[in-house]
Amino acid sequence: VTRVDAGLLANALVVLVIGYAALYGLGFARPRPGALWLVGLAYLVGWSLLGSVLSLGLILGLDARVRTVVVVTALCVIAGILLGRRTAGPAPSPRASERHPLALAAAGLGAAILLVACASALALSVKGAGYAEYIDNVTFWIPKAESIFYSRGLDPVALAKLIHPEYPPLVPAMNAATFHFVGGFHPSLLPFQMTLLGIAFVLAVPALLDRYAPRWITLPTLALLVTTPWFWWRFQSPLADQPVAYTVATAALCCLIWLVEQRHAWLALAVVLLAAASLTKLEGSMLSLLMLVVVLAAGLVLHGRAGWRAAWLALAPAALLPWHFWLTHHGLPASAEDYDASDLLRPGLLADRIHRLDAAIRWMLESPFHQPQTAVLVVVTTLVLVVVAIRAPALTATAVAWFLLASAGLASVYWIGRLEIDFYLGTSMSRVGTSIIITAACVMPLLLGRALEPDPPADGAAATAAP
Amino acid sequence: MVGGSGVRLPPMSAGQAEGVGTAAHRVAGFVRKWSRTAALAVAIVVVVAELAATFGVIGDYARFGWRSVRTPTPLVRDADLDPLAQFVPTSALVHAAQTIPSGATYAIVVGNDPPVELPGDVRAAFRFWLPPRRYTERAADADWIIAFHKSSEGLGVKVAREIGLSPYVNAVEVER
Repeated sequence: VTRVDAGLLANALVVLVIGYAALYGLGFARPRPGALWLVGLAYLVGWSLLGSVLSLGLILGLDARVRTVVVVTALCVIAGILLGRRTAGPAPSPRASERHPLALAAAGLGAAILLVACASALALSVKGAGYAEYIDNVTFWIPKAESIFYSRGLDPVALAKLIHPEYPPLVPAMNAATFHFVGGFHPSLLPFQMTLLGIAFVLAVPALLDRYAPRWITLPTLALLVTTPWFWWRFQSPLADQPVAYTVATAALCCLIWLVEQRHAWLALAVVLLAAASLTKLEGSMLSLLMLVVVLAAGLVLHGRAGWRAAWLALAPAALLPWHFWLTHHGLPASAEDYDASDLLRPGLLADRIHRLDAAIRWMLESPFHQPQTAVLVVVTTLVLVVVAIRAPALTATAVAWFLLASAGLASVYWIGRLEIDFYLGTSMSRVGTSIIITAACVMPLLLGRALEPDPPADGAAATAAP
Repeated sequence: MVGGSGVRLPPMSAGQAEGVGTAAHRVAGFVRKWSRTAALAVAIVVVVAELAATFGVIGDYARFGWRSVRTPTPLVRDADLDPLAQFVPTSALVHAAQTIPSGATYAIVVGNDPPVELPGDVRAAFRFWLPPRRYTERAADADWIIAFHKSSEGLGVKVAREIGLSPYVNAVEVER
């Protein structure tokens, strides 16, 4: 066993321990064999929590060294244990397990495809060749981590010399921590680290969906998502787009489940995941903000005053504010160089650039159909949304509202963007836009599962909103 | 009809009320029953379509994975370096890191003899590999200059010494 192997193992264990501590604290996991099923969710939540704490720590002048990570882990474990003693254990899953042979066959086939896809991605990632496939990794994502590693913290002078210093620090912070764990700057290990996170996401989704969606729907849907070429090849990509998609998609599931169950731990989990999305990429904070708006509105409609609790989701995009203050304090640009959000308030400029909006919308509508697996995914998701709208209207409306707002939000970025539109769409939208497709693929089985429940539907909509 | 609004509808007979209620219940029951059946039918179609779509690519992924398992895993340091070969000769990166002291400041000057297609990528690769050495854009401020496809005479600095890193790539120490 080399120092690198031991470092990677220790790094993964630390993330898992933090994740399980958070799940224990929120009442999702208890020290029983059944908690192993939550290993993916624990890793994803641990990555989100550690990443957020390290990011805020870096802003406060701390580093991302092993001893810092160990202290964060110890604090998370103590907090998790103290909190967990006061919270109830996990609520039993409302679903009975499927026993029909065809259902078992579909679930088994889906699981087998997922296993092959994930194992192949992992085998490819250990070669480490994928880290330089996107030039952005070489020009700023990994150099930011390198700067944090060598400077033992955030160095404004070094950041000023890189492209996009304004991009949030979570992914570079986590990569810098990995470099400290393995004892050196080794970018070829990052594809493996990102593949681990991707596999954690793949395991986390059925763990969340199991409460409402049968596995014969969940696993084939996930199998199709994972085998779309853009998803599979980006398993090992150290770009920040995949982590944003993973955290936003799982947070969307938590929010929808909260709308049904009103158990506040779901909101807390969503806040952790969305805070990580916000600290990962500027698009993450926009998607988080839109989720706050949609879930708050749905919560108020469905649950009246109790719906105000969704306002806690505001903590997630707010997690980005310290980063803005830090950038401003050090004389660095606090907003994206490629666009200025205040341009959305200039009608004349918007009218001048209307062709860009048209191009962005056309791109969003047409590009999924250039690739067969993505086309199938988009078509079946749209079909499901139409059919389940009758039986789970509130959840479907919430999901559709977020999809539309998120799509409009992304389109508006390209509308006011300064880069040449075809170049901008080709290099950026193809990665950023996938967050919406990934979220839709994760939400679809939940809605379908709700629609298949025996009458009367226990959907929050049926209980309170629908006549 | 609504208390307090002052608007009142004529009262319905019990039969009328029962009839309306029964019809509404029948319609609601019909919709509930058939919407679930429709959802189940759609779910089955969706699952079949999803599994069929995965068959188009899963074989390729399995082959990539299997091929990867059968090829030896490179040493970490080689794996770190090899992907940068698409931008610059990796021997230039290795020798630059050996030549320029870790506390030094360096600049990169990319010339055109022989022509360089993507000078930005060349700079990016050196800047990626050389930290913790400090990068500066101004050659005059640097302790060392990496002259990539550029003659040291054209750098505009006093040269203390010049060390070859790879063909057409030199590290130039600036005389102070």
